Amino acid sequence: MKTIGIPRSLLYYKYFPLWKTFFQELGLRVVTSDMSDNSILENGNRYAIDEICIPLKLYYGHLENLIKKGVDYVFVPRYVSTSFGTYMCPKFLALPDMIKGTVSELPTLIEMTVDLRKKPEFVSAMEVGIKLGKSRIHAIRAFLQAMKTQKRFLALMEHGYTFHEAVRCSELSTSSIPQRKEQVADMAIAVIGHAYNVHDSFINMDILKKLKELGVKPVVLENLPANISNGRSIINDTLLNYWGNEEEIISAMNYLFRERKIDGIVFLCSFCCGPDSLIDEILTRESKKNNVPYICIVLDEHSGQSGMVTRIEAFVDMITRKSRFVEVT
Amino acid sequence: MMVAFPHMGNNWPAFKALCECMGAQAFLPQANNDRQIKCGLRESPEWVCFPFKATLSNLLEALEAGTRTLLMPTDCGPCRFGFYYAVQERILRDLGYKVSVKHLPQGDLLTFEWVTFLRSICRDRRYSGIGNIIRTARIFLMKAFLIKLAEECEGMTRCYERHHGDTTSVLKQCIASIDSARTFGQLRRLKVKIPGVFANIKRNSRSRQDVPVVGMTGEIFMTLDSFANHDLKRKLGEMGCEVRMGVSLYDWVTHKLHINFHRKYLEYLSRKHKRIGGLTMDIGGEALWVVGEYIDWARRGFDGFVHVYPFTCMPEITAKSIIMKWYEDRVFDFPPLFLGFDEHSGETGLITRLEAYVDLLKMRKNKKI
Repeated sequence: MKTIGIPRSLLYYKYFPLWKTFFQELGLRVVTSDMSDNSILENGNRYAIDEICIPLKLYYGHLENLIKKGVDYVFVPRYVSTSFGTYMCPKFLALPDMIKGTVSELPTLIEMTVDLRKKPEFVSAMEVGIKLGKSRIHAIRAFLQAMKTQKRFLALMEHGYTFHEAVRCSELSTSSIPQRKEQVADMAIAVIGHAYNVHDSFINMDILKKLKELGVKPVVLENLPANISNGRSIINDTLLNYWGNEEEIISAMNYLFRERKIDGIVFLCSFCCGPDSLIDEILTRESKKNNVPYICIVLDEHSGQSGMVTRIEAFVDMITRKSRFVEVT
Repeated sequence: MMVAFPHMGNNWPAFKALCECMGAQAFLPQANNDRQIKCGLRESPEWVCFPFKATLSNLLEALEAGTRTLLMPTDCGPCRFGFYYAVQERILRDLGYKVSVKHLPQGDLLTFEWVTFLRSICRDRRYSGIGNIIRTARIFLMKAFLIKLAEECEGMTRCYERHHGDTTSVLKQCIASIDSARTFGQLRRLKVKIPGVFANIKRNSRSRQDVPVVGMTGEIFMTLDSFANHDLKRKLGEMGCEVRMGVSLYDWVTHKLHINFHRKYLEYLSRKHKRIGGLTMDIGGEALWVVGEYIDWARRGFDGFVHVYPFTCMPEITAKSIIMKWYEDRVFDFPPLFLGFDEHSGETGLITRLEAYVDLLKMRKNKKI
């Protein structure tokens, strides 16, 4: 049985159940790289140039990890656009090119170009199937199965499961969603950001756990209802947002501002992230207007935790005081 | 009506003509400088790319001078440029100015959205006829072409000038005469005149064989704006390099009109090398063409390659990581120099790097290494 490696970084945190089922159905054994840690980052730094954002540096590290494991194929997708009229970040658009250009001694690269402006996703999946020497029907059947798993995974996330729990549960064959013990807390804080920043506990120094320890219930983007996004968000009267990744963030924020079930918002972004530099500016201004506490935490290779812990503690303290102040007056 | 637009290097005469032919008065911000940039920096997000900060400070200056109509080109591609005008408008409004930034859509000029844009500059019926719009576009294109011509001549002449500063003053005169030209006849005469004036500059004893030829390309704003790139072109010229430019306003506009075959050739070159990482699609910025240009110039036997981009630019960084690896693997024997700029104002570091690079090129040229 041939093996295919999937690096545990970037879009892994969004589409892993889909990819895994798809390749398993095609008769491949799926191998993921190890969890992110310091040595993976260091290895990644050998390939990546210094100016690139940390998720990509980790991507190189995970890729190297997979090469060491001796896989037959590596899966490097090219996500150009995930809904009509949008783009992903330019680095996603050129990801396979960049990998081919910078990493030598690669196993066979399996590319999948997802460009919903030009072709539906199952066509891309079919092309991958043909590349792997399978029939079209086989590939489409595998893709439909994969879509089912992905749907289940998203439903689980919506019910408040964490990423790793949801991945594990989505593989079970039952279709009902098991009940989950809710954490009881008097404060809920939304942790918003790209999936690879929020769910990778190495990049964000396990911010979700730290919040829990402070007695706060963290809510991530995927925990919010799935239907909050309706088309592209409005930036100003003449511009609609065109970044696929940011679309979720903006619509989630708009939802949070509207619903007011959340006490504060933590925005996680990686240093040098192009889209986030502008989105953060817009969100800061919006949250000021809507009077919602908001903090932006910038992530890079920095490994000292105390700075971040202090900021989160201060943020939580501030919200507690604010609620007390409101009660008194 | 007074209309203001941000600077991009020496390209202001073209934009000025655009406004004036449409019957509006153009407000020209001062050329970018340290003091004025600071206003833009104060209001900009922290790690947005430098062109955002520079253009915002131009707009702020125009607002303070009382102009209420602001122009800003925009794109709808995957890079940040498409968001510029919307976020800038938001920032300006939060500062208390009641303005709307007029955006010039240039994602694809063949959609002719720019016609509506030009008509919206001036509401006077006399100017909004289709004849006048065609004339405006032609004058804009011709001026852009002349500016490109002057800048090309400048890069090729500076290292041969006998008296320090001759080329710079000739360039200034050329830009001024491009600005003052009003009719097609005058512009056509300038087309012949400009190479002549540069040829008349007194030459020093350098021979063409010893002078390294450096190609300079990258993100369009940073490459063309001499404040943003610390006058890189002049510095390279004074250190004794012939500088060829990879980007210009004319190049960009013709590309957006789908008649720039040089860029199509560069795309072909990049795609041809996709096995080793050549980009296969436009990812915003100038990344695709920078990669193509690197291959093209390496084949044409240039000596050096300077890649200029704003710090944190997503597409250019992608291009950089590919080109860097190509050089390390000696796919092409063509040394690149990468210069990422932000608002950093210390020049010494830059000069040291340039000197070392130019020394290396000269030694390679003389076959010493």
